[in-house]
Amino acid sequence: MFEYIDLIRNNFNKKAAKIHTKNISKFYRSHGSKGYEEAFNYIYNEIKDQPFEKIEIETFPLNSSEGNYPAWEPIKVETKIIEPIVEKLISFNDIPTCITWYSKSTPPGGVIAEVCDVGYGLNKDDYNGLNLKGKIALATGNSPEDTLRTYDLAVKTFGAIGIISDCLISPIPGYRTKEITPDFVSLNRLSRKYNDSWAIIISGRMGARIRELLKKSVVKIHVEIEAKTFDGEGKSLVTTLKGSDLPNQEIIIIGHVTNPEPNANCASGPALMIELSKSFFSIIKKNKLLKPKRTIKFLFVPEGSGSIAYVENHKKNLKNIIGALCLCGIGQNQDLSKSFLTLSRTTDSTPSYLNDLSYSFLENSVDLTNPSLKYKEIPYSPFSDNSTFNMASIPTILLSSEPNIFFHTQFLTWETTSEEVFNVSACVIGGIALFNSNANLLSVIMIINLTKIRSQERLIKKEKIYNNQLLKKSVNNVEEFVLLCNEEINYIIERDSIAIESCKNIINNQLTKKFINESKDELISHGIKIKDNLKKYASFISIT
Amino acid sequence: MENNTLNIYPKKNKNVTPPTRVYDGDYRDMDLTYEQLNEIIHLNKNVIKFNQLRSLVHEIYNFSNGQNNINEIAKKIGFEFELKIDPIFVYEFIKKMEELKVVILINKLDK
Repeated sequence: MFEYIDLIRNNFNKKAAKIHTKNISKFYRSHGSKGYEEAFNYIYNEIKDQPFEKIEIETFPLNSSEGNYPAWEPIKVETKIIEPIVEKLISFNDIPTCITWYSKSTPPGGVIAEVCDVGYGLNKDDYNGLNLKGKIALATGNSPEDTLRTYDLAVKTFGAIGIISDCLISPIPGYRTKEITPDFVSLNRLSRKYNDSWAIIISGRMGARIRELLKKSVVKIHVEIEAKTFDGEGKSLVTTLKGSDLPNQEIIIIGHVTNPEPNANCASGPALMIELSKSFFSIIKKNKLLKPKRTIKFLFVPEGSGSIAYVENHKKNLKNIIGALCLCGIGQNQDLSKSFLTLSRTTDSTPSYLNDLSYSFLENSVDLTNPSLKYKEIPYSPFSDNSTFNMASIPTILLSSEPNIFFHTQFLTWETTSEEVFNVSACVIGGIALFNSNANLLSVIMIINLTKIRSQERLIKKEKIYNNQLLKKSVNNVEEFVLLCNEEINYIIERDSIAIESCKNIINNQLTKKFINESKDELISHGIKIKDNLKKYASFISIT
Repeated sequence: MENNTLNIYPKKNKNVTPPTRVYDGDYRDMDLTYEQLNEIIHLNKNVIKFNQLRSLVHEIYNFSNGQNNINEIAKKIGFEFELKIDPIFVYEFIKKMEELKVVILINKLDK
């Protein structure tokens, strides 16, 4: 493990990764757009001369009529207050995150309409006494779902011509709120299946300004939007570093190219992948490592549509994928963004050794590279292409930066990334990929052992929580409580036993089988011990 | 209800791509309105937030392997996300997934 971290640390060009982020994030990269094409070409040009066995461009339709994502491209947004004063509000040129995805154009020349404040506008009652017909609804919110809901009510039910909202998604108390970060304009989206009107996002400051004006008089706003929804073509870049011994076994590294300008967190995924692949070839060329035994594939995709198309089009070969590593926001400067490098586990429905191996790489990469960096492990989080792969029963972890003060706003620029974080992320992702692709019997024994030990640690952690709850006397029915704890212990043992078992996907022989069975038995014994302890402790607490 | 959910074993229909989002505007993706989703949320005795739905519904689908009944799925996703999930919550989404032909339901009593 440590040798891979060292190799990548010494061969990964973190400066270049940051520059790629800068270059990719200058394009507005919505599905099927010109900006996506330009970002894609940039990546392709960086990749094309590398000695991959295969560099393929896979295409797929972007058309809602067949149930796919449609292609969508914004061209222009100009908005200004024209009554009671004339004042510029927001424009696409200045703040590209202002247009909500899948918005439709206004008529040429735009529309002028009165504004009606609907507040959050999440419930039908919020619209009592309001006449929205032909007006623009002024809304607010804290999540993308809020904007979808308000749009449904204000536009589709109550007849508004569009909405303007200062919805700031993913607020972080104390760091990211409309009051603390009043100029943030965060990306929102309408349903990709609607295409009947529009929504514009403004900052908290602009929202407050309009509300202030509304207290005194009628407010009219001019909105001009040019955006097109069309049948287009999705494009993914798939590169293959073919395994020398076991080419049919694959490890996938996936990052997405899509998102608005700048969204550097999303751009940082493909940026890292470009440099990671270069570092692999550099390591091989310097004879510091033989060519990997198993195949490593890099997938540069439009988020969602690209991974769905890949899973659909490669159905027959999915069983060959040992595991996938998904990247999203892996280069954030932690001081600026207040973020942690965050490992989101595979789904519990697809237990895998990959979780504990990945966490171990994360822990050791930080320790060896930059111990001041913060990191954490969280349960399955379905917010990138990891969800598509996990839904296809392919164990897939997600490495990201969470939370992120600048998340999906105009301030999420390449300057908010950090070379140090890129370096650690490269060590984690590259390390896991190389370790898996070169895994031999010894490595498999190591992973089995690691998974067992971490599972035992999880059980001990649970035991402490149960004991504390008993000690605090916060349990009403001790008997029921112990039963539930036992069920949870059994669940962890069952899940982690399957994770240990998943090591067979790398090497399946008599020795690994024996070691797997012994480790599972040890885990069960450990669980029995914890359950016994809990029973004794609970009866002691009950008596006292 | 408990007896019913104990007998129902949902299984993924691999020929149908599951929706990736739970709420994508009314009657889209999961074909459930905002009100219907809130009704399902409120069927659960313990609080579930709207923005937790995506993870939970993904796992309801992912655990639908024909081996877990509704109650087992509820228990497992509860442990996974450290929430208390009632079988009725899972059942409502499974019913919808069946309507969308995303899963098929195997009733153990019919086996």
